Amino acid sequence: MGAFLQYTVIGLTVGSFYALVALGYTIVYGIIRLINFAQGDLSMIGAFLGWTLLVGYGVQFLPLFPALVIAFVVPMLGTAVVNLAILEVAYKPLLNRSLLAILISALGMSLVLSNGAEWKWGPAIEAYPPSLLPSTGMFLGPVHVTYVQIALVTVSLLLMGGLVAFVQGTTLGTAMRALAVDHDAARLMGINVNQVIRLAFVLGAMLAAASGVMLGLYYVQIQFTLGFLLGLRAFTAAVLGGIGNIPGAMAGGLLIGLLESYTTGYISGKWEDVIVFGVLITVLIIKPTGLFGERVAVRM
Amino acid sequence: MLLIFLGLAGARLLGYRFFSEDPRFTIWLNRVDRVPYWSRVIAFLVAVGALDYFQGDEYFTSVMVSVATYAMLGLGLNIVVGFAGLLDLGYAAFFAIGAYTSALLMTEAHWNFFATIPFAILFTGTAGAILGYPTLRLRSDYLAIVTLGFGEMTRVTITNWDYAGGPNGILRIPFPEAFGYVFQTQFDFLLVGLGLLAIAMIFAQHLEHSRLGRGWIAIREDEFAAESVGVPSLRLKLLAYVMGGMWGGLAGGFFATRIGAIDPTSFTFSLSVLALIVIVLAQLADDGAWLRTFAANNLSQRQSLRLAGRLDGAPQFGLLALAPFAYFTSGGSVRHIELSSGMLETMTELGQGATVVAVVNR
Repeated sequence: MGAFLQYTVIGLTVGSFYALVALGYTIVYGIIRLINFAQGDLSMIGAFLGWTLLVGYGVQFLPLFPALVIAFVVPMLGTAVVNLAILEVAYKPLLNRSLLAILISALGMSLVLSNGAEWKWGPAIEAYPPSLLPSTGMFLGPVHVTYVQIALVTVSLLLMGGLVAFVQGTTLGTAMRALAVDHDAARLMGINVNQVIRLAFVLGAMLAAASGVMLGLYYVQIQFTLGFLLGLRAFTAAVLGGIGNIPGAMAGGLLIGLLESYTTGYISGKWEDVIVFGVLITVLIIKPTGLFGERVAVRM
Repeated sequence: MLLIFLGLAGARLLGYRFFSEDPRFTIWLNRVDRVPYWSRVIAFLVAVGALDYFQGDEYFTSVMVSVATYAMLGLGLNIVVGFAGLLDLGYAAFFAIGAYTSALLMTEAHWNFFATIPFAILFTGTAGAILGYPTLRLRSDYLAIVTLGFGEMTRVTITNWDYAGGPNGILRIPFPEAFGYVFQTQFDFLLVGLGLLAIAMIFAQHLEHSRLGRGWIAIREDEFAAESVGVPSLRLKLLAYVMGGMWGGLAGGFFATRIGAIDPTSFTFSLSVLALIVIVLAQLADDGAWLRTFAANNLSQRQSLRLAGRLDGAPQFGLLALAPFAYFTSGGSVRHIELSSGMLETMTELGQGATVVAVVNR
């Protein structure tokens, strides 16, 4: 029982990272029916930006709280800019063309980002300062939970909650939801569609960056290749929960994290991919729109 | 060689743009087109082979062999994505299944390479049916992730499967033999490759213009409309995966025997992306399928060749990958692109090379 709970804790932690990235996928997809393959790589860029700040610019030597704030906020802004650039250059011109075109563009962009990162930061594995955060933890019954895990999960939940509050509560959020229903009707209501699309990209990028920095803090090691697998898992999570569906993405992320954790714990790390995709395919066979149903724009 | 291909494609395109109103041109074009497809393919491939024999060195020939392999991959993926409009991001799986089937039959059962080909195709086709079945009800974007998932699942499975060699793969795969002659030099491989490619191209072309092919195109354009006129879309979609996979199997078998040792790292997602790049680029030529896939591959391989000497400069080309792509992937018809054909070629080279180099130089 102890092992199961331990795996659960790990799974939830990792799952919350996936959930953040999955939210990015799902928001963008819900609005413009685009699978932004670059999302995972944005996370990687966020991780590297955080690393550059902490290690390269010595932010790690500042007192803990300001250091963390900087390490989160600056990469978020940086990746938001990157994502906006991607939107303008790679996706905007293709929005009204075939799905295949924009998909390949997204794939190409993912390649560009990861190779760009390899070019800029080198192919080596880099490390976040391991002594930055305390590695102590506490025992909740048979389970050992580190403070870092608690903190990261809390931050993730806060970010997700913030997103939900934004989408449900504010006017702009409502505009995003309107876009996820019908673009033309939204235009008729006076919504500036392009602005809101940009907003969605910014939000997705910020969430991805946050998860990237958290990955860096949690796993300590980062490499330019981390974007691919992360993006894949996160997109699987988004689809599992129902693409375009925000709570679905969160649930999907946590589920995938748990699945991964249990597979690694009970079977073997080697079969993670097979199990994760197997579950996805099974769910899609039974419920083709995902666990919670999809919410996608009627027309672009 | 590259210039010849692009020149031919470019000439035809320019011809369309400037002369399409001139009846003399269309009459000439009809006469050209009336030559049966298979003879054009054979003539073209023989010309390629001859050119290579007289002009090429060992390295160049091996690049051409890779071109032939990628051409087969592209042809297969073109059936799934191009004809039927089904997004497939896991095409590397078929390549892998074909390669491993062929390799296992050759190493374990000591079959002749040419005998393994039909079985490789058969297994891959069956795999296509199995992989395709769950996806029939899914929408195109879900299809993407599921096919990607299959690609990854296949790769992970063969990495962990000890009978298939596990992470080390299968080694010492014998060369193809026919009537006592062992094909072992690069040029021999080229002969085998071009032969297989000829069969593949001709078959693909006939498929395109067959009832099946027209059904696929109907499904691609509008599935509901196709259903309403009696096109059995589910069955045809399944068939698309099966037949599309077959080419991958053919290419895989050829790859196995040519490289001599296969391992799971050759069959990654990057390969699936490469196949997609091939067919996207092929749409540029927008000519017959023969020029199409071949030119696309040629570009891809030529770039790896040319830029191999500048490995450290490679990633920066990766950054240039996107701009040309955004324009070129726009629906596939060259008529919509307003660039001059010179710029087209340069950007294509850059874009394709960049992406390929970026992928290949991981």
